[in-house]
Amino acid sequence: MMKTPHERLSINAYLVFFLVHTAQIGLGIVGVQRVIFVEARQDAWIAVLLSGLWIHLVVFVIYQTLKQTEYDNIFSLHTFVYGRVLGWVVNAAVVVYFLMAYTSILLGYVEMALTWMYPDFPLWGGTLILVVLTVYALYGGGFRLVAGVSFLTFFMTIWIVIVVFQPLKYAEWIHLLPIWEATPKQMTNGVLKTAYTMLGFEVLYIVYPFVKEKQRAHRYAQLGVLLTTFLVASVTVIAIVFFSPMQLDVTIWASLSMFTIIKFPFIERFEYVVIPLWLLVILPNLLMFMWAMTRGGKALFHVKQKYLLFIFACVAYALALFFEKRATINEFIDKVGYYGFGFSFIYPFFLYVFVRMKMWIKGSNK
Amino acid sequence: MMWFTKKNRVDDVAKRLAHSPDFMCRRMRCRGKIVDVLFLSNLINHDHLQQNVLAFIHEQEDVSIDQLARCLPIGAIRICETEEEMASVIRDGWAVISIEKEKRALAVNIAEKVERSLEKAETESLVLGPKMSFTESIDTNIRILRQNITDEHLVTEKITIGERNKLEVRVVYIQDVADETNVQTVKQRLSELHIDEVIDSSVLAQLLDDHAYTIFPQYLLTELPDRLAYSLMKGRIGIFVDRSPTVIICPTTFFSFFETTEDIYLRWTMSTILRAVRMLGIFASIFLSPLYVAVITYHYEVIPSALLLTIGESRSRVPFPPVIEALFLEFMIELLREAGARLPTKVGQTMGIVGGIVLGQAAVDAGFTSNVLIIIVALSALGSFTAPSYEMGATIRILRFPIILLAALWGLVGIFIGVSLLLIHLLKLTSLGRPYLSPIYPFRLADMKYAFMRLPIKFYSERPKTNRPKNSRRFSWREAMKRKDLDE
Repeated sequence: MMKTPHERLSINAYLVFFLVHTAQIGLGIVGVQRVIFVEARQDAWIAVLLSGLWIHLVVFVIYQTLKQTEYDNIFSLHTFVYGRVLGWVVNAAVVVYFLMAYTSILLGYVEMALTWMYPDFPLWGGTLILVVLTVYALYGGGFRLVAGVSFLTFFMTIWIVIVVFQPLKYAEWIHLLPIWEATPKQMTNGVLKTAYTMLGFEVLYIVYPFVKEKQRAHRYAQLGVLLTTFLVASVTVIAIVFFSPMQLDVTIWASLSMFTIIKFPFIERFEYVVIPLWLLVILPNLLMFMWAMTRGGKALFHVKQKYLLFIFACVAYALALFFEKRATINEFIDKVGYYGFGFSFIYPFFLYVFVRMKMWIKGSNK
Repeated sequence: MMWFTKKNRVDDVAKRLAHSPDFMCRRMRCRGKIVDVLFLSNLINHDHLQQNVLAFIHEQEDVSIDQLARCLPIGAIRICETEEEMASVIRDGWAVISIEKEKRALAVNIAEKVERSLEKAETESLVLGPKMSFTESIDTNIRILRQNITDEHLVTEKITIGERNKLEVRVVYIQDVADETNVQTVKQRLSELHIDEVIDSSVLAQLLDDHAYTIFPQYLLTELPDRLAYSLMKGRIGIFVDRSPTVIICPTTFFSFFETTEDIYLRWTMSTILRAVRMLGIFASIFLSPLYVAVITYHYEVIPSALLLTIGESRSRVPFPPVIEALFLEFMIELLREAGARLPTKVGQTMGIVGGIVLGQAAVDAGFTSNVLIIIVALSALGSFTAPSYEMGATIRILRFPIILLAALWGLVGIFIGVSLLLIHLLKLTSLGRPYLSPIYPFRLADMKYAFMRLPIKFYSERPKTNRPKNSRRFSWREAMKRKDLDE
């Protein structure tokens, strides 16, 4: 069993709100609209709400699971449930998932920035900068820094929300009608496609032991999810009413495209400000996943986290080097979303059942 | 035999004082005893010596160490046992009275220290409020502090540092306000210093730093007694260093470098606005020229077309890329500032003319830079000078250069990489082990009224939590907030 972190390292409950929210919001929200719209058409926003509801339930289950035993994070929990060998394998799979999520954010952001702003800049250069940034932050910073960055970047970027509603001036609300036309299959696909955007709350499994008042933290986690769902849903609705269906079908970064109509007296193309600013949005994502990886690596190999930080950073960077084209990156991101859906949306229920069963067996043995 | 030891003693002390030519031994014969008075003539007050020591000994009926210790009209005396001790007090400007046939000697303090008179604060200038500033003498400084704070819990603890060149350091704090852990940390760090000498409080501040590899100052240096008094009453700790006119205040936060005591002297509305202006100025000072470089180099689409015309026109004659242009101008301003700081004040006035008119206008005429950039660079220079702390001002001026380079490399994304690095760096920093970015992170809502704005004084019933005061209550909140009825 891992030792509970020292009191000095633990954070106040309210920070869980920022951790969960900033871990969730990232690249996805920039272009989620088209992805869901292709599946669920004008009911896309319902798919978002449904997946939001689902996540609330999942967060509840995660908290129930962690409360059951004295093992307070997913890695020690896995060892407990599956035994030493199988547990190790499952833990390794979780770390691989985090690694993939990290790399996908890396690639996604750099790819977006290069497409919009710097067509000539090499992909490997952009990813390198982000990897170095992550290592610099976590080395000597640790979890306290992850929490700090997510708290500060939240306030540095949340003001964009005010601007997001500006395109409503040109809204055609009729685009939303008819409501509830999507078939169950379409809706399910829609929810599945939302997954990548809404992922991130699974870090609760690892953050949990670092929080001071665990019961209050649950409430804040739920609030964080609520805000995410609200934002993603509003962005989706705005895109649906702003673009015509045919247009939305081919608009990859719908949120950014909507920003092109926003003008300030001193800024003409607002999206050129948003893309650099988005670095601050994905920064907590990067830090969070990298930190989760090192925690997992510590449980796997019993090595100091700072060494793992360098190793995982190199691995992630090497992985990112494999990708060059937009299409392959997209495929990769889709795959991550797919695994993420399995790991974060479905698996927590099973884990809960397994933990209960294991405890029941252990209890009856005595 | 006795005579032999006696002679030996004076010689011995002289040897320990490296045979200084100003070492004097005044030998007198009183009531049949030989009395030696040893001192360094450059260090003492001669009037004092003649009237209160020599004349007094002459008038005594009974000349012995005990008798003299009882009757000498001098405040600070002490008994010395060894020659080494005698030499060390003589070095501090004391006189040692040694009497034939007595093993012990009596040391009296008749030192006269050289110091300048109290002057108006130069580096931290204020419009309102007290103008006096600290001087180089620790005794005078402590006296000023005691006049400023009459609190009975004021502690001034003495610690001596420097293994060769001994230096008196005083840790001052209000005992029932300052956090005990902070006080312990300061004392521990001071006592763990094994260094031959410390030349000034600014050096000591660097020695006490939590992080050496950072551009940000972690301790506040002030020459204003009122600022120190204010900080102490809010639960901070001051460190006086002998021979230094600046006092160290710790722990600090990033935002404490942007506060001045004038913010408290002005009415709250004004000081809130002025502080906002200052913060905005400093923010602009870091980011304006990088923004110019980024936007002109990479993203001219961001500029509205009307403005783009103006900028294009003024840049049309400039043959360099924006980075070179910006670095050139920034370098020029830095040069002007540095030259101004090094030059004697009388010559310094010409600097303004040289810088403002000759270089600025000529640079544009010669097609070296654009007009727009001159405005931007001038603005950011002005902004950096509004930082009330000289150290922080310098930090901000230097900080601009790496961000300009980042902007030149990767445009706006480069600037945001800079912002991220800065953010991460600031989050990692601590001062005395306390988070540097407080009250933003860790978030302390109640302290926002100290760090970012001013409210009417009745809202300041509690000391800032960032300093972890042992006793945070200043006055009764309830009483201050009491409202009167209409016709009361």
